[in-house]
Amino acid sequence: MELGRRPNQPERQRDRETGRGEAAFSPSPRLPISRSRHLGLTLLLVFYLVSLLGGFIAPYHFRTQSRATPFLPPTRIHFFDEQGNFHLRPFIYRPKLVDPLLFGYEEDRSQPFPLVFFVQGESYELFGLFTSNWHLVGVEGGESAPRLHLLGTDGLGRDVLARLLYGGQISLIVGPLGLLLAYLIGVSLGALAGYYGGVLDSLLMRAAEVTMSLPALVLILALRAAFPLNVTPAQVAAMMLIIFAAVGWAEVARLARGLVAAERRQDYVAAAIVTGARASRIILRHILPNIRPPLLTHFAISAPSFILAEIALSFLGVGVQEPSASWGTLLAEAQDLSVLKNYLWMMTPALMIFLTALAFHLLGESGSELQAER
Amino acid sequence: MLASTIIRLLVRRFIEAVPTLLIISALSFALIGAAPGDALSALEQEPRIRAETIARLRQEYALDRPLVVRYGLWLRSALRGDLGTSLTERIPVTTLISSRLLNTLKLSLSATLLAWLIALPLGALAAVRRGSWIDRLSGALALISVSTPRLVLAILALLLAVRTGLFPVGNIRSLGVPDDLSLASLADSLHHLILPTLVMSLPLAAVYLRQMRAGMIEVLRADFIRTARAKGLSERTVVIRHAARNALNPLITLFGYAIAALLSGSIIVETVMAWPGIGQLAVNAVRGRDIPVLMGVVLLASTMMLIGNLIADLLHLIADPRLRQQATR
Repeated sequence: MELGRRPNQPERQRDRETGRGEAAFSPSPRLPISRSRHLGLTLLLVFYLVSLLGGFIAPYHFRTQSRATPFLPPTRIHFFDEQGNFHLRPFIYRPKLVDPLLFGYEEDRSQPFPLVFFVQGESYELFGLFTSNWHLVGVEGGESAPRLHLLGTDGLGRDVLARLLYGGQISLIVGPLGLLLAYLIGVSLGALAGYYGGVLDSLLMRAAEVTMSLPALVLILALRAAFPLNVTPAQVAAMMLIIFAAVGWAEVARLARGLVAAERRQDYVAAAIVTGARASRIILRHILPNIRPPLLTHFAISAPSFILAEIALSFLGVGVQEPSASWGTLLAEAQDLSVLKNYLWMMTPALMIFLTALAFHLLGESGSELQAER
Repeated sequence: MLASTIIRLLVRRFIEAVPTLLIISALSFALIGAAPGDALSALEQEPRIRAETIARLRQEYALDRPLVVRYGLWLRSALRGDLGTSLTERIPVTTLISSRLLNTLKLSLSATLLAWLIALPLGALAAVRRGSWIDRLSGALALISVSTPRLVLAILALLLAVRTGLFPVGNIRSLGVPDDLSLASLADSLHHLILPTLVMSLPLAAVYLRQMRAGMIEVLRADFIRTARAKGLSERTVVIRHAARNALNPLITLFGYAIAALLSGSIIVETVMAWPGIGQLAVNAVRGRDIPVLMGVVLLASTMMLIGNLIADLLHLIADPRLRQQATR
């Protein structure tokens, strides 16, 4: 959430100059570097994959309402029937509303409904390209069967799992994409400033400083207020991308400038100049590959704050809007006091946000430790 | 020498601050004002209000004038210390902001204090006993709190309050409790302060803890520590008087940045926990398209950012004599 100047910056800067101290800065709980790196990468890979395949993994579409079962707790999956007999194929029971006021449910044990894998059901879009109606898991009996809600339902009877996965498609992608845009701008400008120096350098860095002295989240809110609230989800996403890039480029530009300026003094750059290589070739083919590791590490460290910026905007009601979903809008539903008190499964987005941020931190920190070792 | 360096820094920053604030205010005014619709647009849907009334109100608030003229008007009164009147609350913006600023400061001050109290001893201890269980535990806790965004923390805190009933759910004081200096009133506000303070301070504490630990480890390797030990000083003196004092230097700078980032950090917490501070005010202003309030908040936030950065540099200058020489050279 705190975009812009990060508190530990002076420390890092000093480390880069003296080339030492980073190892001492190694902050993570002493997991071996490779293990925390693998853990972070694996978690992220799983989250992105599962989110992108959300339509297939969730049994229902994220917008399908089932008004008969609002705030249904996660469906219990049974292997043993009433008589205590074991069934290899898991089954569920139909929920029965017993407390219409607080939405208390009981299972109707009279008839089991077995689960089936790879079934056809509601159609959905995959990657925004294909339409399919195959789902990983469903309940035998089609329309008349009870519904399988692995993470329960929300107040309109919508499947929380489906909304969580679909929300992930937005929350996991909008922030990092905005950061990527900020990187494109920041690295190009920073590389130019660092390579050529002079007036261009001081002008660009002055602009970066002004941008960084802007109060990021307040500015994002103000910018967002500038746009009408009733626009399509795609427009909102594009708008947020632009805002993130406009706020985020400065820090990247400063980092890239420092790195390029340091490489510029190296012998291999002088050698490349002597062979008559053009500046664009030297920057792109010679310098960039050498400064890629710190840039990647910085990307991983910055990604959580950009993901959170999207979540915060959506949470505050100025980002992604209903009936579309992001982890921010899901949390906004969960913060209702009666929901907090009674329907704990609505909190799953909070867990996902935590795990995502943790994974990015593990990745970023193992990255900076690796560089310190080199 | 120190005094002259500081004065020069202050003068330079002050001169730099004027164009920065001008740019920021013009930019945000243009962006906010360029959007279609204004604070009165919602009233147009209301059949009971006549179009003439809205037109008259627009004229009264100068909402019908061109953007440049409106910015000029705003700037002219802003320079005289008048930030206009809130369009939704009908109170002068300066009054609105100053009444809420106190609440935000209360929250962030106690959060910063708590973060230091947790982080400094724990960070120093973790560095001295590197690899021990306390080091591992504090490291793991720091990683967890760094990865838990304040939004999630705030909702968890609400969950705790709702489920256990031990803490009040949001707001700054209970209904019916007067706002005075009586013991009951103080206890009540303290009770309301606990959860928001925890939420605000945990991520801060994690950053400070890591910084302290890293700084201590580096300092403990330094030659002057070996000298101190060789002189026969007790380990306690070496750690506290010699090492910890030097490890604190980078942390002092962080204090300034904490002020700079204060408003951004409080927006979410104040909104979730119904804390009537600046952050909540900003969110309401965005929702109500209340341009004067929004401009006031942007101006305040930028000023605090500038002041925070200045404080960071000043503290750094005071704490590290080496920088002083560089600056004068």
